[in-house]
Amino acid sequence: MISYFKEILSHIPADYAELRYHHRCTNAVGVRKGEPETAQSNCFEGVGVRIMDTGRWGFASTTGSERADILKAAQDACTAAKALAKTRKTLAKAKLGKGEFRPPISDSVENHSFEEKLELVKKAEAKARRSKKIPSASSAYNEHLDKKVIVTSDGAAALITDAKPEFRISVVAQDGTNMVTAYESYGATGGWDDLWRYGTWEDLVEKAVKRAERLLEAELPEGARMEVILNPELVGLISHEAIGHTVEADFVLSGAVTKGMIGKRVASELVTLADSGPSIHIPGAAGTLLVDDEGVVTERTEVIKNGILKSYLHNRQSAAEFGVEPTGNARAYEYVDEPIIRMRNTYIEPGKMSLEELIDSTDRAILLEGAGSGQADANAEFMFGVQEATLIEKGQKTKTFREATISGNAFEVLKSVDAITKEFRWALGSGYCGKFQMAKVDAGGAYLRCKAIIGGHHG
Amino acid sequence: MAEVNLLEILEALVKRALKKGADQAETFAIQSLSQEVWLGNNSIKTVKSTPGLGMGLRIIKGKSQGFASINNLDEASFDDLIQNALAFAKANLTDRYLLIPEPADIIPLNGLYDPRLEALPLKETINMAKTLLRSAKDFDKRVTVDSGTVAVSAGQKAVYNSLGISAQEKSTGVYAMIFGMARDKKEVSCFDYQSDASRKLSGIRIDQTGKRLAQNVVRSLGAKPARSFKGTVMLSPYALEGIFLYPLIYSVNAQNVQKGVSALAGKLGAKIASSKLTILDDGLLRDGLASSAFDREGQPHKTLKIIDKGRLKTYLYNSYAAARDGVNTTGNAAGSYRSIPGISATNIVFSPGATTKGELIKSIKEGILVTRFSGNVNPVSGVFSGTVKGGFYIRNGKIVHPLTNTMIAGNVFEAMTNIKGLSKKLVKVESSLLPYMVIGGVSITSG
Repeated sequence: MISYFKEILSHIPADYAELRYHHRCTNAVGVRKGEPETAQSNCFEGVGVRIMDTGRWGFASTTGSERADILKAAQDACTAAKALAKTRKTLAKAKLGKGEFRPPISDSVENHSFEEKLELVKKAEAKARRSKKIPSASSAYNEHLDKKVIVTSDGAAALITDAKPEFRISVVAQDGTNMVTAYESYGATGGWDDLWRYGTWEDLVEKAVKRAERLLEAELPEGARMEVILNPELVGLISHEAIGHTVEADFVLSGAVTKGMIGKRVASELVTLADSGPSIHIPGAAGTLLVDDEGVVTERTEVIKNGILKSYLHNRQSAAEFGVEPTGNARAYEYVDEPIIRMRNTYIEPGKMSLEELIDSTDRAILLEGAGSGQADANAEFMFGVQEATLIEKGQKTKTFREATISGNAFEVLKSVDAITKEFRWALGSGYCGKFQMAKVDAGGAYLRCKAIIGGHHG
Repeated sequence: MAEVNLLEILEALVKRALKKGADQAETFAIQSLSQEVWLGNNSIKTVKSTPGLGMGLRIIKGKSQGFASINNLDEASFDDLIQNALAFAKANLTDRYLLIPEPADIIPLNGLYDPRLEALPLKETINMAKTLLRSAKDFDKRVTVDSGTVAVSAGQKAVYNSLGISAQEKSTGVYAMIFGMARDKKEVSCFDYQSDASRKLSGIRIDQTGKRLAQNVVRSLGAKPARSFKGTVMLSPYALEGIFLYPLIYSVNAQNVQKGVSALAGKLGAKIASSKLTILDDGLLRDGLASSAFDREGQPHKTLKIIDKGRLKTYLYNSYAAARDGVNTTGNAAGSYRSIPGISATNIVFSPGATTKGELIKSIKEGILVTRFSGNVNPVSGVFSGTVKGGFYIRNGKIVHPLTNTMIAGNVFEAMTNIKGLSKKLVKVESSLLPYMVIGGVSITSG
């Protein structure tokens, strides 16, 4: 297959050319309130062709993988590039992938039948509704089965296969007109066993149900700037949304707040933040990417080391502009998308203390758990929804709040970090990031104490 | 684009599916081509051409349903598609309401297709992208364009089912979007984005789109916090879209009503909002981005009053949800060829108010103007909470200063009952036509 694409590539008249074959099947099953919701299989196959000629990019794609269609797309890409003004853009040299790449898988999701997956979501959803307070629940399972071939005119020739399964449970708790939702999920890169590495589906359903039941009794928080403890999900969310996006080199070039900050202190010295292609500490992170979509072999990129900003996230072009090595962050969601700078698995390194020790040593703080959706700005200001907020006073949990939000400037928040625990986990395995196109990402960390603004509701 | 006869292909697929054991079959296909010019970091970054091609097959077997799709229109793919969809249908849970709809009269809709757009040379699209960039940058040298796009597309779609629905439509579109900020020495303003779209080349004002972005980001420089209070908030059409549209559309989606996750369940005919509020879902809107003669299932689009002078008039239905409620579909089946038809609004149109934007500001003793909202909206409860982007502090009917570090929180369904004013001018935001809206009772945290 690699030689087939290499031969076609040799006929494309450009300074640089890149063929990316992508075959994906996404299978999904879902159940809501005892009724079928989704049962579908979507497959696609196509080739994205990107060329650079005298500093001008052109991109086109074709469905299928016929030689003539790929060459036609290449011609379209060349025509598109010629319509632009010449530039001095170049590509940095990189360690390019050659050969076969696949994450270690012991029990492929393909060994498990559609019936088994349907049975799983049926049971999970039914279990949630066994609680008297849960009138409605839904559960879903889906999997992406990917096969990619990436060949470039300067030597990448990689065949990449991987699988990314996800499982979700969402519950609605109700008491009269009082209605709340809770949501839990797992996601992984790898096999069936990787999906359940943090617990069983029963554990996850139990967690969502208990949370919803607590939230039903919870009050709305009052707005205040205060000490907070973030759980691994929220540490992951801030690492990705509020820090990660501001260090994507394309955002940096267009004026993000991190511009010119390399070597400067941006966080407490307890904070080391990385974005990694391989899964660090615990296998199976859902954003795992062994070779990026420019054919670059990925690695762990240290963004912040002991509080000092060390690196941005690069593709080959931005690396050339900054005079550094590419970090393997070029990603494309489907063959119709061109590779752009995206994160992979973004996290803050764990510390040494236990969560128990952290809570014991806390006088008054709010423990925030469960990521809602969130946004962040180029100046690192962020705002995220939080599923559950628990007031901790003198080491004791005293009150639960719902509909809380956390906001602040991410770098200010990270500067205020005074404790990080050791309970590291990949926590956003069912996460997707949207930046003109989707990307399957993961993020995580351990528990972390810092200061932030809790969004509130006045009287 | 070499145009193929979609209906001929879909008819063959449906016949084959019935022969292979399907009781009913519904297919949907698209063929399109889009040319996109992307801006990045203050220049034209790349030009991209994207084909859209694919077909989806829904099969009903007994009382179960299965679905499969593929990104080609080849007869060679028929058997795999049918086998996948049938396998899913055979193993799936049963559901007695499943059906595919009967044919209904579809009146062709004019104005969806502009031959000038289909034939537009790439150079023209690039020139439009240059205009977009220049109109923002020329306005003020502190403006930084992070990204943007001008996309021109042309295509066709078709629906065919085993009960005789056979519908096909051609359309074109042009879309412009720009995303950026202002940078003054060390100060970085909020991000803002602006967009415009039309079905015809002459319907889009590229230079105005870039200028609006520039005005917004420059105006938001020099921002400072105000005080915290509970009070009046004026939402721009973009902020209105960001806060109101999602919970509103979510809660009138009949599927959500049936699932028990709609705050508007059981409220049909009831007064749920201020009498000032009338909202249409207009699938036939002239030059609307979501306009089409028919929906994802081949049912005719309509002009529906969702809220009439504050009263809830209808939920939005596809055939399945309609069957469950024993009513007729409203023609709101939606989705791509990659999924079973869901439900969505088409073009949401607010009825205009009586005053100008300036008069609305003048009417506010103390409050804030929100240009863009970045935050969370819970579609079930209607609770929203988030950061004010490009906001302004208003006192005694005048804008005093731009805002930073300011959050707002409230409830959409409560705010709908507390509308103080709507502007008479409506602004196109994606597929919606929206006014400036002044609401009371919002928590403002600033400082």
